[in-house]
Amino acid sequence: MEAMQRYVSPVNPAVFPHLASVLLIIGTFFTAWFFVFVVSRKNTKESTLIKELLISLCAAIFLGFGIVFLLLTVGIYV
Amino acid sequence: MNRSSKIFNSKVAGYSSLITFAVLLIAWIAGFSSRLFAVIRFESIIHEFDPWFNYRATAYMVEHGWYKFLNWFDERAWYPLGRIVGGTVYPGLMITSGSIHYLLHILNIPVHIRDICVFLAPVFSGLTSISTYLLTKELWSPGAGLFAASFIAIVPGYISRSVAGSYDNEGIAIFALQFTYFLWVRSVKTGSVFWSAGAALSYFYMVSAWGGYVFIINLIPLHVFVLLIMGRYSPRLLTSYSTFFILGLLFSMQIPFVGFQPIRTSEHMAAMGVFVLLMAVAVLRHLQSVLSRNEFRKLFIVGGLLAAILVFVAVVVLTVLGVVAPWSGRFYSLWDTGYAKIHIPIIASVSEHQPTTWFSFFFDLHILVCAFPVGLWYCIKQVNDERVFVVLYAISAVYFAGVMVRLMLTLTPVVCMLAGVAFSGLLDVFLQEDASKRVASTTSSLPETEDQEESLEKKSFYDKAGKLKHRTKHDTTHESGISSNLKSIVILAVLMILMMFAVHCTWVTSNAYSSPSIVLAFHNSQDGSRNILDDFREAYYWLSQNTADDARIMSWWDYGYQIAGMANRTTLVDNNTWNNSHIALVGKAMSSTEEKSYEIMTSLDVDYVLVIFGGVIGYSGDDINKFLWMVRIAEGEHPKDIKESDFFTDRGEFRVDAEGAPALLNCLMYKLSYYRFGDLKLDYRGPSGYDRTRNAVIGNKDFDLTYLEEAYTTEHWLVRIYRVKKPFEFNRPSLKAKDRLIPPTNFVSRKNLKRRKGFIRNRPTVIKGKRTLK
Repeated sequence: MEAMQRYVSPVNPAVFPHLASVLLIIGTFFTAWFFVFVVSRKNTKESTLIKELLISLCAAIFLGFGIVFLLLTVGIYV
Repeated sequence: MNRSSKIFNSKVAGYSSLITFAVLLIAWIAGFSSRLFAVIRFESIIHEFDPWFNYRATAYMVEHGWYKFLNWFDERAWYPLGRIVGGTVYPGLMITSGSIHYLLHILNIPVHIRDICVFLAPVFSGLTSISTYLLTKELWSPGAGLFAASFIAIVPGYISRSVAGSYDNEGIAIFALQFTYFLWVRSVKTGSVFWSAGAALSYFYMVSAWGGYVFIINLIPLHVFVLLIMGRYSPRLLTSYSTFFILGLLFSMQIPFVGFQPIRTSEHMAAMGVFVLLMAVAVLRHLQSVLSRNEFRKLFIVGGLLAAILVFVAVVVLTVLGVVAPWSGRFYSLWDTGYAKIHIPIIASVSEHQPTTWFSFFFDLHILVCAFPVGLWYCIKQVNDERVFVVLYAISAVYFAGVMVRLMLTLTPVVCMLAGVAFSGLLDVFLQEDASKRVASTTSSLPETEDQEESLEKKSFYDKAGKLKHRTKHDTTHESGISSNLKSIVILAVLMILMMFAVHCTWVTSNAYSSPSIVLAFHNSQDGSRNILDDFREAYYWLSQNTADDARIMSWWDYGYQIAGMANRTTLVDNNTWNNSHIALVGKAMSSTEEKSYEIMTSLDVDYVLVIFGGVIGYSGDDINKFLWMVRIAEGEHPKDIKESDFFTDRGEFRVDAEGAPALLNCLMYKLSYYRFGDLKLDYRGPSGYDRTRNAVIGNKDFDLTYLEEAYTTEHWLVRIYRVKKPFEFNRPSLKAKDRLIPPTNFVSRKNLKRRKGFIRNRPTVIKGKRTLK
């Protein structure tokens, strides 16, 4: 027990709130982009799968990490 | 050119749907979070009275399964009658939260059913705002829809019934109501069987959720009827109404509580009559296309008269024969506001059945109540099939809301919709040129309406997000028919009004509608601290811990559901006021003298009596203030024993002090409320036995209870519980425990090991069949 080291978060806990808000804003931006992109596309023939996937991937990554840090900020230690 | 405009067009569509989505999402979040005041201030508990029953029933359903719930005979209510819960309840609420619970548990999210019940109404308020958006979009424009959605998310008239913890039928019923209307309007517009079947399904959900479904089943036929009178008959109407009516009728009869009411009671007859009428009109239309004009005219007059007479006679005969039940009391009280007061005191005694005062319209709806006639006027001016519907909806809802405070709830959605129309119309005028000019500068071939809608949507976004400056700057840069100054002033004023509306909504929600009523909070005027009185739960917890499992508790019916829900004990009467005579019996017991009420209580096997007494803290909703209703209800059933006039002084006052009527000062309720209160000195300077609620020194101070004894009184005396003595307990003289010592004497027992057994000298020996000889 004594030999074990105390766990230290790789990210400084002081920046959790800022990190969460920045990541969530970026993620929301990508989500909005994706939304507009998909809704405004009328003809389905155009092959835009790659682009859609890329945007949604970005949105998912940013939103996912944003939510993790949001939870950490408010005290839910995931 | 064409292609680029198309791209631009679709881009605009994309942005406008993004804005729509964002506004609805924000409306949902805002609506949800403004309903959380009670949870944040207190804790996640169920409020009020009825929600406690709903919660108890839901918990039972989750625990025992749906079929057990349907067959549940609750022997803990209405002792000794019991209650068949499955057949006397609208199960939609329980099914909704039960299935949410089931789904979450399938996903391995272990949420307690109580939390689902607490947060169900706030979640459904978001769905309500979405369905309001859809309905208003059908009726007017998407911009108006967004306004309406934002309004209904935060309007106090709806929040009052859907704060977190207020787990009641209305919370989900308003969603079902709006969604049914949306589907109905859609089906009238399109005339498709699909939408009207959807309307019937949604109506089914509504029937399963709330007794207010009668409003739908009368309003939609009224709509059809008015359309027929206006000569707006169309095959679309025929399709949609006949589909909706038949399916809705069959669906609604599937709910056990509703049963055969839809074909047997007068409330539902209008729908049937309109159905017949619509069929007749359809046949005539068909004949018109076949026959010549002269023949048709004759046929029309004769046939019309015959049909009218036939329908009328049929209804009258069926009513007389008893096949069709006449109107129920609650419906009479809708037409004649004085009816309930005279005939059914139990309906009149509920505060939410009182007529609405004018300021509660403003309190609950604020600016919307002023804007709503404007929207109504817009709808009448540019009338079409579906706007007839909203006009009728508005007029009938205004009438009903005026009759009963409770029906404010049905008025609120339509007010939001029409106010949305009004605001959108206003901004339409003051933003139109601006929009078209901006369009002209970007592309020439864009349809104007699209952008107009978009700008409207942006506009309505602002009453949430508050980015005011950006938009107003835009307006001032453009010159048009209306001077830009005027435009900006008007827009600023509108935004100010909307902002004040939002402030007012939050304030009302926070102050008026977020008290759980089982936990009382009051602000100390001296140091501004907030005190919480938790007496109700204290008392109910005491009951659950210190009484026998089958103990029967008598209280006034308001507290029946709470006792059953929190203390899990048997009650005599509760908030499901289905048996007036039983309630009257309890009222009689409360308003008679101790001896007489003891007879009633023993006949009802009462073990404990619970009264609410607010005299110590000045809580006005206590039993003494409700007492006259008990007397009135008791008088309705037992006019010989109880007379309301006995409880008033000669001058017709109801007072508890020394000048009060003797019948009042000696009745059970008075004694139970004020037992030992005469000795209590609340203030150093004031007299003892001073009732803070009624601001009087009580009239009957020194009395003892013969047939009851005090069992428990909570910290602030808010709840007092008395035990009813068994007959052997008061018939013999009782000694206090400290007096029970045997007086010391010089007596020394001579018993020792040898002579232990005592005997009687000269004891006659008894031989069977022979006389004993001395």
